[in-house]
Amino acid sequence: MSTTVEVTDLVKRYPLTGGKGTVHAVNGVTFTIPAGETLALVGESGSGKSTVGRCLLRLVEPTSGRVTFDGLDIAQMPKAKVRSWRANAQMIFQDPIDSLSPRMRVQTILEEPLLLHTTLDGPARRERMLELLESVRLSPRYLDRVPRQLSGGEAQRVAIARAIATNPGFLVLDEPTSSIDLSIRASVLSILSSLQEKLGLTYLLISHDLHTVGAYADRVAVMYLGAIVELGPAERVFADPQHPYTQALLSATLPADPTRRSNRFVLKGEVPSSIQLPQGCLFASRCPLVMDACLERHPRFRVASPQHVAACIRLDDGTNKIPVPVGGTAAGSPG
Amino acid sequence: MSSIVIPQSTEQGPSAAPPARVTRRRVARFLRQNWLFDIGLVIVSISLVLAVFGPVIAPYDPQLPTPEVSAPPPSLASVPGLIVETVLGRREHPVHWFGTELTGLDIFSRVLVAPRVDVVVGVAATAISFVLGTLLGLLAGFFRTRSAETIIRVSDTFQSFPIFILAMILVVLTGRNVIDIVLTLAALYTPIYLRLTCSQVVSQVGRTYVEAARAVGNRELVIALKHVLPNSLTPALIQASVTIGWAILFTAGLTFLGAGVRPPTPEWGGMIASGANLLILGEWWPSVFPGLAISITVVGYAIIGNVLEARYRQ
Amino acid sequence: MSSKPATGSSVDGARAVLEATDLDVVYPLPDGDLVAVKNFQLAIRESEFVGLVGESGSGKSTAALALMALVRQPGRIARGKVCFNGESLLEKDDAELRRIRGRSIGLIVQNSRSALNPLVSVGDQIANVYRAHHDASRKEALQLAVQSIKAIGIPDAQRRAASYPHQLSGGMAQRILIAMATINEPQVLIADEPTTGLDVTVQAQFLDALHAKVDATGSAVLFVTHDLGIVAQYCDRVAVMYRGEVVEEADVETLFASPQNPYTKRLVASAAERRPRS
Repeated sequence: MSTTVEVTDLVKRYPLTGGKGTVHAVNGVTFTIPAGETLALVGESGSGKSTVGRCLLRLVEPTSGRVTFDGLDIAQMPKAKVRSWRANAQMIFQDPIDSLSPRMRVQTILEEPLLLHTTLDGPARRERMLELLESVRLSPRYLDRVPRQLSGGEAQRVAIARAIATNPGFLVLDEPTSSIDLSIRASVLSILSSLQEKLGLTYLLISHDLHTVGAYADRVAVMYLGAIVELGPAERVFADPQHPYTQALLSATLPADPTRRSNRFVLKGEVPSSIQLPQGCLFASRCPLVMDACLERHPRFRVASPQHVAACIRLDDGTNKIPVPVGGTAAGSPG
Repeated sequence: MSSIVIPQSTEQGPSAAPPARVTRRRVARFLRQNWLFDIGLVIVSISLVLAVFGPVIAPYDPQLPTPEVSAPPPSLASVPGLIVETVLGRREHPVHWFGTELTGLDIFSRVLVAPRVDVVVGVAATAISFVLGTLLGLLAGFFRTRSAETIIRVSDTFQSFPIFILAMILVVLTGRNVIDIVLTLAALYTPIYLRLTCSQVVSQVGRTYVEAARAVGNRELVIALKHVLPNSLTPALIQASVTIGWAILFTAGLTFLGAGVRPPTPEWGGMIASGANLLILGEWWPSVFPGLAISITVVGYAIIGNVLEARYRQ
Repeated sequence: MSSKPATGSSVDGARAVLEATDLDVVYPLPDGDLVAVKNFQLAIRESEFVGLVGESGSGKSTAALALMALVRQPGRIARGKVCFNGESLLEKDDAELRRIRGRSIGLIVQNSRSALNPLVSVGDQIANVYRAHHDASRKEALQLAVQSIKAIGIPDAQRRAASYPHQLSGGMAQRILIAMATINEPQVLIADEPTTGLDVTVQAQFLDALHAKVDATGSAVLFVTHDLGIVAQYCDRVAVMYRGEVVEEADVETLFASPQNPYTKRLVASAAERRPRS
């Protein structure tokens, strides 16, 4: 029952009030998630990754582009049909407790999707709710609790139970563990992982935490200022990052192991505003390997290895790796 | 995805207890710690009981003159003895605890029966404006359409008028029976609830659970009513008690000025008005007792509102 | 979870600049007192980079602030001692504490938006911190402020000094906090989750600037965080807190290589498992 998701040229622009311009949140994003796999969308704030996730579920209306689920175009679907389609695709949110209605008991929260999308009667619904709680490793006692009485991890598990209630084929996981304590993250991620195997779910994992992504994603797309700069199998992207931004991102991610002193590279400069997009490569203003040609036009994707692409002009002559002196940090380009 | 060994988890999160038991304990503790609130609660309860059972409790028919005309209330020294006599049933005629006025009407009975008008008008007007105001506020805050903005602007304009003058005009225009007064006050108070609810709703609309409710597949209206409204009612609920107090005061004030209910319906404001002329004669009891009644009642409602608000602000 | 904290190796006899002993911080609640920090024991030595690690609710921020004799109302320090250079801070009066804070002990908070005055230029704010503890004219202090902004790697320092906090990006504002906290070259710097909420690349800029600064001035640092990556890469020693108590303390290599306490083991395990394979 898992879904294949195809996104083509997704664009989202927000007009600023007072006609002061537009925010280019998502600028032509294209990717495919094969059924049952996990694609991670990685990037920092302003990268547009959360907006992409929401566009896929029509929680935000895309400005243009195609989004198909097993061939069915969601982006063009009329609003009335979207509501009933929602049984097929759900979302896990970053703030678990806030994603649950504050005054509702867990029972009501779990029953809602069943009432909306199934024709199960009372006893059948109850049975299904108990089943759902069990699949996220919560005891039936939790049915009577309200969100205020739940810890972050428990709330997220309730949210997961709610999300799989209607047997969807696709889940968007929007930073599912960033608001959860470190020692609990593994258990939540393992539940998501085993549910994916058991129910054959397709995942879009949105995260800024490369640690999580590395362990759980099949493929990774790195985003910067609304566009994908690198896309490929997770192992390849982490082992051999092609785009300078990916390299900077990886080097800024500190390993929790004092014996591995990473060769650090620190980017200079600030993330440019997404209102006035630069004409050439979006990363040019901070790229340590920038050259004149970068400012002329937006670089198209180059193939680094099978299934692994990066949008950097320097891939053509193999000069796309940022040099880092052994055993120390390197200064960035003048920012 | 690879599977990872899960360590046993003990989160440092809130401990869970069944909701009902905890709520009852909390309410009990609240009542114990806030003696002022308890006083207000007692006053409000008495006013509500009188509004329903006033005529039953009153010793005399409030609109029937008695032979004792302009009788002052019993002296303080004689009160205990009179209470004993009343309890033992030895009195042929009930005591005029608050004395009588010009035509012999028993003031005590009238004070007890007046809530039938004052409190009922207060509660009814507040109830109507509450329901109307919160619903309009919910729609305006949730849907934020052009018409919603217009509703808010209209309600703001309404609020900028001196309410009392507006009330008087409306009441005189629509007629001076209880229903008209209730509707007038309801119309005047609706903007308050509209505003309160609207701003709460606006603050809720960006919360994650609203987006999550959408993702589950709810209709927008259902999201507004089922998810957002219950979390936006608190300021309105706190305001309700205070509004009842205001409404009682308004009704009394209107009647005092001669623009409210017509006599001889017993009503605190009217009683104060008719008793005002007698003050010069030294007969204080026809106006002072209803005056005290109204003050204490309004203060009671205000206390509840203020204590709840102080608690909510924490 | 009440096992005695395992003491780390390499106690090299250097004296403690800032030290807390048997510290309890308590908050009064209607139901009874909440003990936010219990038996807190930590010594920070000269030029040491110490990490204070814990999850939300562990009491790490409360403990760190208590080291400056700062407790958020209505809490209070119920028990214990805090010594700075051998002198007890808890016995000092407000005036003496004011002389020490900002001068000998610096503080970097998590949220630059709440720490910076929106109505005063950042250059002036840094200058004011200097002038609070030194006799200097506004011009002199401003000069120093501009230099400090340059030192933390912000380009065009003269112009930046004249800008207001809302004109700066989050990462830049956070780095300004470094300048403010270090302008008087304090002996100890307490950083309370200064990078939580920042993007990784911005965090890298911040840590880089901080590291360069403390290297230059020789300040000791107490870095409060829940990010074990920062701890592993920057700290010499680390104390782990759980539910208000220090459950383990060791030098950084030992803590990661062989954690003793069950909670520490769990933390280290969950951080280590998910390494990006680069």
